[in-house]
Amino acid sequence: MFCPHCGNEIVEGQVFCPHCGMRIAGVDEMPVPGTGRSKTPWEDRETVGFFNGLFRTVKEVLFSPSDFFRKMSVTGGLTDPLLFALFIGMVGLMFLYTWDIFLHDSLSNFMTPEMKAAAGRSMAESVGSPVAAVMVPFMLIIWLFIVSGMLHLFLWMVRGAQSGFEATFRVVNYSVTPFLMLAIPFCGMLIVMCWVVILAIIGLKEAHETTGGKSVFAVLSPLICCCGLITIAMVVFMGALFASFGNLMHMTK
Amino acid sequence: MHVLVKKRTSGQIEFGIIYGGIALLALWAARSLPVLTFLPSCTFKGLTGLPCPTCGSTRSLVHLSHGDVADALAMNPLITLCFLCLFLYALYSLVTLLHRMDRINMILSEHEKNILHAGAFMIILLNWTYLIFTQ
Repeated sequence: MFCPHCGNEIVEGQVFCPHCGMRIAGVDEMPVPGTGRSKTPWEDRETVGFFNGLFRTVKEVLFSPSDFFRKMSVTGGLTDPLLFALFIGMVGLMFLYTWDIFLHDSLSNFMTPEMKAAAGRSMAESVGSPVAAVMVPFMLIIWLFIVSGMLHLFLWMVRGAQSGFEATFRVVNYSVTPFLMLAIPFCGMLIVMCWVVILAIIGLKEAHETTGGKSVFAVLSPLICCCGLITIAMVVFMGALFASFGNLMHMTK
Repeated sequence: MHVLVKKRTSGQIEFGIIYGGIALLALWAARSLPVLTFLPSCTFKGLTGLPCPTCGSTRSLVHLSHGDVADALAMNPLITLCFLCLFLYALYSLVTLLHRMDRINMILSEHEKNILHAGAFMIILLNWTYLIFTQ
């Protein structure tokens, strides 16, 4: 057996390479023996069934996140977690979109002129084109990669990134599960924001087997002191979306 | 530090190309759209009166998209350098992928890793200090 990092010969079953010190098991596509990590129910949906896998994953992420992320395999590809995040994200955004259509005018009746000006345009008005529905999944994928990159960078800076980028990406993708709470009108977004942050903290801690403090630093630092990066991600890509549908000129009038 | 050639494994994910693509999309948007007209103000600056470590990122991106590297560097040196490095890395990833070449891999000792992490913090702090005094 040879180390996949440095190419030197090593003894079969060795977890760390004696030559370069890199973890051997981390590059395997199968669950790491002895660590108790395995596929999530969603990734095992061919065996357990689509809806069963989806429901169990949602339930475990929302109500027992520590166990879920502790058992979650940190390798195995990006496709399955990405599909999960896309599915959940789209369902949540559809709820948001629906509430926006039905409640925007009702809410306006209770708002002062200043509040109306601050609230801006309805999402339904801004992204009213059906073409938006086609664009949103792409925006979501880009958003997931940007957030994963930022979190992994901050985790790496405090030496908390014990596993590879794939582990962070998987945590971020499964952490969008609270998007389903967008089914709750008015306060759904607030619940989602808080829950997502908590899940990301727990997920990074368990997936990277690092300390809670490092995990909190990685998640909260970009939120607190890097609004420039978040602004780039939001404004540039949302700008691209609005401009695609010809609404930009109307919005900036 | 040991520099080694890492063998390409099948199905290896090229994150450099993915992030390079996202950066190109950002540059395209910054060049084609009036992003600065609907730029929300920095919350950190609003609360503390000081620029955040990434203040000026969007403006540097707009300058970079027009080829004004000097102006982009003046707005936020770290973000500009990160973008330039990202493009170089994406190009390298693309070349190695297309030619099925092995990748260069650096193995660092614990001491070197500590220096690298401390260096990253120092660079961010230096960049932030520059922003505080110039913005």
